[in-house]
Amino acid sequence: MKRLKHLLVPDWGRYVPGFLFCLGFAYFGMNLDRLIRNLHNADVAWATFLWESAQLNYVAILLFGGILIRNTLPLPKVLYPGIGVARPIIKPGIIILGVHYVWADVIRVGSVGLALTVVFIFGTAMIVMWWCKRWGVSDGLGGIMGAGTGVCGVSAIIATSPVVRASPIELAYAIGTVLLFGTLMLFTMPYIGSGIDLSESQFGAWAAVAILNTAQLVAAAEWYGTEARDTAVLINVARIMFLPLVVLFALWFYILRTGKQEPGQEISKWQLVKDKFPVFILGYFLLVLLNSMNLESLGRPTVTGSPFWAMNAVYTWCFAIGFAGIGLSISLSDMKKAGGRAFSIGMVAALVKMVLGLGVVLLIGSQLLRVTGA
Amino acid sequence: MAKPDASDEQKKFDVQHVAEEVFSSEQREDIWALIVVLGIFLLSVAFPAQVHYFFSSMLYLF
Repeated sequence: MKRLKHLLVPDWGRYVPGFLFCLGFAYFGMNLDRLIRNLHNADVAWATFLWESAQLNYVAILLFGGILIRNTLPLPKVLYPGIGVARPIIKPGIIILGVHYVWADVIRVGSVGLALTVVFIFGTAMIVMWWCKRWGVSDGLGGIMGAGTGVCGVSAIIATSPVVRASPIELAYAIGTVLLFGTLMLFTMPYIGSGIDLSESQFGAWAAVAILNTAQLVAAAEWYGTEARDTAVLINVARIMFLPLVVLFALWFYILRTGKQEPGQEISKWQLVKDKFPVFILGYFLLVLLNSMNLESLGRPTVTGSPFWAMNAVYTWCFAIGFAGIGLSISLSDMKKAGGRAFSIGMVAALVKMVLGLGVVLLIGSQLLRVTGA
Repeated sequence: MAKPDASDEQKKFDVQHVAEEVFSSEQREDIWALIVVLGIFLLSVAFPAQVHYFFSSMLYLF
């Protein structure tokens, strides 16, 4: 009963108006996407320009539209809490995407992704922490920036903050910086990818390495194409599994290694791993398993009339609601909070990861990064 | 050696508190995501054609 109670927040009513607003906005975005696509198919010139040249699909409509609404219209403050809870609706979408994969994909793309993850995630976290230590940056800021630029942005920063004892101002700077660079990458990388003719699977891998936030990387990859999204989601799953390990690394690097742990304040490492593990990816792997078993009763996303075919129609709506939440929560004033040393650390780490990541995916090629689903 | 003052302790507590709050909400989101997908899965097993029609046709105006 206590666990059930934990699922509902006591003041859940305050989330309703903003969430409904996001649902309405997502509905509008999806229908506008369909209208533009239909007109483009009917050879209407302006629709073809919007669809093909400007790449104005539902992702762009919801992201750009959301930012425009949030930063130009006087949105009532009562909507803000609900807008915040729309973003995680991407998670059910990611779980449902499990029906697109079979174990062969997970092993082939996942093992490349795992290697990329280990090199880039741990490489970034370790180098940033070591570099910060060398340059006299406080343990608190160095720890949260190492985790934040290495793994999944804001979640990693918040997960690591109590372990490395970051101050509230360091937390604000770090979160502002990660949001700023995540947003910049979300809007520039798809255009850079198209500009240099990057294949969809290569773009998906590049986004999964370079963009810190799960929701933002799913948005960028979905914007680029379905193949890009499938690769990005699989590599991202490999990446977020490492979050508990990065927190453990920060604990060792700043506290255990240096003997700074105070008596009576021992931290249970197993509890730490358990608390920070992203449980939702278990659902994703369960669907991959069921899809790989090729059960006749569940079918495939391509088998008309089967349960997996039905589920496959739902995930885009989950993404649309989440993207509406992302667009509407990007506040330019929040990003102005990026500053101090966090800004320089974030900028160097983000740029190095972006350039090196691009080089590596170009070397790997498309074949190893392609999700076939069969 | 300087003693940590009360405001330092308070800040430490605040950060810890925010982190715990956010992480319990992340776990809550994860569990809700699993519940939502379970619901969609059961509906899709029971009424595949209707679920597909609802999400791929009925929700669209055009």
